Amino acid sequence: MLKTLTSSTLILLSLLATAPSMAAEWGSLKGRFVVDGKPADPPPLLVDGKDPFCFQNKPENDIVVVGEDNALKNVLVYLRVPRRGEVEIHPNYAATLNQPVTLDNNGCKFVPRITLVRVGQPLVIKNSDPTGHNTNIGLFGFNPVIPANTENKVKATKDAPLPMPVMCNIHPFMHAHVLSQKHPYMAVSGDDGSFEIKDLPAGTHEFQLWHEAQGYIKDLVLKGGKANRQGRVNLKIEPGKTLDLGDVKIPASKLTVR
Amino acid sequence: MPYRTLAKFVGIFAIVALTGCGQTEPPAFRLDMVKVTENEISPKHQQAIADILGAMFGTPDAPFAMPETGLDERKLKMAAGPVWSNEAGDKHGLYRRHCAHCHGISGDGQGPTAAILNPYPRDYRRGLFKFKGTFTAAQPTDEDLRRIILNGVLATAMPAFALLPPDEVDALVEYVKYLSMRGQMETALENYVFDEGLEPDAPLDPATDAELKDIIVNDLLAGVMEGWNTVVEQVVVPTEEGIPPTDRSAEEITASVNAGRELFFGAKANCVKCHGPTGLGDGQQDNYDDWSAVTVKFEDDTRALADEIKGLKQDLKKKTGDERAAAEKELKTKVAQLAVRNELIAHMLTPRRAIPRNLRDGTYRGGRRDIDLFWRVFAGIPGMGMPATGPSAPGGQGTLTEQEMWQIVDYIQSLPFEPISEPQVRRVNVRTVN
Repeated sequence: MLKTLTSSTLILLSLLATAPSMAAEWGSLKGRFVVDGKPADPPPLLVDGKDPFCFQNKPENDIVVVGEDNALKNVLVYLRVPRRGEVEIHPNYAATLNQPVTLDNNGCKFVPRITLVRVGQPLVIKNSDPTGHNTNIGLFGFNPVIPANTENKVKATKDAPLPMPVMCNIHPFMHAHVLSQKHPYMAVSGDDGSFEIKDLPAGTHEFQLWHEAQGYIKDLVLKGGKANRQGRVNLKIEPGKTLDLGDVKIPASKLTVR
Repeated sequence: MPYRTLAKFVGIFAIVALTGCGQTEPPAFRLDMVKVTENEISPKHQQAIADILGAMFGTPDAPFAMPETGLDERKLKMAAGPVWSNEAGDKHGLYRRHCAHCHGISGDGQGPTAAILNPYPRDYRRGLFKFKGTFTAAQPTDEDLRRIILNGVLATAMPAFALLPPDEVDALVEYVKYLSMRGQMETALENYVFDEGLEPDAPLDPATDAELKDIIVNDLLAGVMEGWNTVVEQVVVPTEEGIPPTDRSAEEITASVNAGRELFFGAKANCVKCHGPTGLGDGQQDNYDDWSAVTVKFEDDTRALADEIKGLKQDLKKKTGDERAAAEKELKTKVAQLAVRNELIAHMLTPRRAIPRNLRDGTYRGGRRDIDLFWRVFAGIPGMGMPATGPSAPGGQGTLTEQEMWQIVDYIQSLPFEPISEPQVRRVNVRTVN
């Protein structure tokens, strides 16, 4: 009896072990965004005295953030799956679908400025400020009041081809964007301008490039190809390898904010 | 040169708008030229989109409803077409008789009188409605639309049609939904053309492309219909226990009003931030409503394009040969784009800020019953920035309890009678509401 149990367990285990190998081969994409030139300072936010906390806090306009060494923060790179197409999702991402993503109202700013979320993923809308906010996400049709030091949990209900605006109507100077996709293959450049999308299925894929000040970044020249008029570029991901785009230069003129 | 053709197209629109159509020309649905321009949709695709919409929805004189829309064509025919009545007194052309002069033939909220009204007439094409008894993201029910038609929108140009026979009101409800679905479908097609990155002269004809036809019906139209078909699951029904009883004592009412006041001014409900410390609606007034925000963005993008053209002109001087020829071509395209945009802006409704309701004059646009006010507090006002204090979706987490929402409703109704400043001496013989 014990023997049968052990052997059946063994069979089961071996089945489990072979399962992932049925999947495609995987590769990664990385790079670093830098500004070519010096972008004009974004106009200051119009923060009036109606909310003393926000007024004292003086939030800065963080639509364009340039770090050391011309590093450009908050550039989006994400996989564009053709209509009705499907993309294989690496088992490593299975758990992330249930991990909540947090969008914080902090210092009268949305943190992060760009939120990445998968359809069905929990989204925690938080307010770390001692003042009340609301978080208006048009894409999902949600606009809850978020009292001081509280949070509200919602779910990403649908996807959109481009990032969609998020705003606080109590404080109209607060802006952010949310990108919602059916897959996890999206990245936003960090403080050092770098980004990485891991475990992509090997093959040639279309990627969308986007920055809030510009929208889709058209005609951008990359190491692996040139973006089209909608800021999309075909890149080849090779199995077991990482495609490193190196420094991707975005002209400062594309980052003008009015 | 597609943009030149586009410019002509817009020019013709402008001429028609200024001089009026000939008597013989039947009215036609207009495309949303702002969206068309933003999505850089070629004249060929504009025609294709108009043709697809024509096949799906018919014309203003001969409406058609695909079975997927669930619309009643008999009602649509009663509402559509020119104004006439038969000997028995059955009225036809109800939409043009009662609605089109403000809401426009296409339901774009840009009828001939629109520009002089404040607020502007509703643009149905986004499927976005302010006054309804459903969750924030949901469409209105038929009952919601019927209520607005019957009662009008208080303190606006929208009159009450309470004297119309019920079948005529039903026909208008159906026609508003029809224009809304048609508009949402138009947007879906315009987004499709952009999203697919179709070349300006690529074919776009579902009659010869079975896959496209399938996408239009089973992806795009199904996407539009999902919201309308699930409305019944999205109705906000207050829980029995939470509803204040009708036989409350004066003390109970006062306690509820006081609790509502605490919430109104407190950090939890935060009504005061927008409606102001005196309830005059003089808090946050800097927002644009969602409809005006589209115009504002279009104007901003147009100014950015004008700046870009200035830069390109500067750069042109430094260029020679082939490089110069390419730059000149780009410049020419952009100049044509700018002309189209400026022409459109000249005819757009001036954007307006979303001014929070003055709660002291006792007029409530979405209705003055307790349940109307409760729905506003629960789900907010879509398109206006007024946030929801209830859950975002059925079964979700709300900010306030229903009891707290009812307390706010009580307070709002007493607010017009509350002194703006604290009276220095309280006279003994005057019964104050609080």
